[in-house]
Amino acid sequence: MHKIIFVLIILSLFVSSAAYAAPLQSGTNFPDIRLEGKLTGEQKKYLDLKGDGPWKISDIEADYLIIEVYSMYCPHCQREAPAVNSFCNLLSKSKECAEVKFIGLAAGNTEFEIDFFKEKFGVEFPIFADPELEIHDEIGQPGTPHFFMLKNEDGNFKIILSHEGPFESADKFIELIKDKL
Amino acid sequence: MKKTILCTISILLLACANTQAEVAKEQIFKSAKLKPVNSVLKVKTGEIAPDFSLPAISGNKISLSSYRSRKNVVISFVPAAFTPICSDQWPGYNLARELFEMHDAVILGITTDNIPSLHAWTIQMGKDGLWFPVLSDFYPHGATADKYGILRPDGISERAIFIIDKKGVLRYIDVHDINKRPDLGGIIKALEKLN
Repeated sequence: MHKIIFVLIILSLFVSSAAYAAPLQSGTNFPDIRLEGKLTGEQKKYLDLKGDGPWKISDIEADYLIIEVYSMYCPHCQREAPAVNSFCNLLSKSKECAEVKFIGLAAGNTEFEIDFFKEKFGVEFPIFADPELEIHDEIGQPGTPHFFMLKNEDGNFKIILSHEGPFESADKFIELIKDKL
Repeated sequence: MKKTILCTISILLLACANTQAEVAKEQIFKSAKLKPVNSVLKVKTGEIAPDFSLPAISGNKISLSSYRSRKNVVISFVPAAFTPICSDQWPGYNLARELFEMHDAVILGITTDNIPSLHAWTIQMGKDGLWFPVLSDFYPHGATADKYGILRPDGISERAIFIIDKKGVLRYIDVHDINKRPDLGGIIKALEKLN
């Protein structure tokens, strides 16, 4: 009897969540999305991007790529911003993760809103804009924050991690990333 | 038996609370795309903004005229509590508090929802709630939204921004596409022009 009730509750939650679009999951190819954003020379060098864009994700030179889909308007993203900076710091210092790059994708945010978020939290990683949520639609309308880890397979990026919501801590998240290498 | 069910539900709800955004996605009502604007504006820039006095979730009544000579006012009408775009819009303004205060401005957040609903909704938007007053235009239903000409036929307001200077004059109006969030940059640039 208890088991039946438990299963029913699980099913009802599944049904309610099924009303939402599903973010792309591990094992699928990540679309070759168009990337636009204001990048510094150092950030372009980090990703091996030339010119002022727009670029495509396949233009990024990286064996592995982590994308944080975030929004300035999302309270979780606001609260997690310092931890994301810490994670990027750990990433840059890790020899194991030397070929792992990190970018942000600002879902539904304007240039002003991206600049404000960057300044407010001292963000140093490259951020690309998606003001009309076109890319957000393409990748399954993930909630924010959402982390994708991609593996470069001959120029195609394949999803090897699709992480919904904030991570537990920068330390634990980098261990998770290392496990995926 | 009842205890088991309650425990199970509690654990599941706690699990959800830890993985979802401030206003849990299970609580967000996903409405269909609406007509971008469905009302006729009754005010224009350069006019004195219609005054109003509305109950706030803090328990008191707040009137627009109480800010006269003291503060610039940004009125942010949003259509409805527990809806997708609205649930993010004010948390964004919460983060950008210094941008508003640097221009000597206060926000008045208004919806046509009742006070208990607004309380339940906004308390989830941040650890300390919101820094600006949230007002209910519930009864007489939508009377303030109607004064401004932004009450839609279905009883919700438009997603609109009105900026009123310290003299009480309407200086900026953006009756926005209800399906999209207004650019924060546009609001801040309009505030810059006041001083």
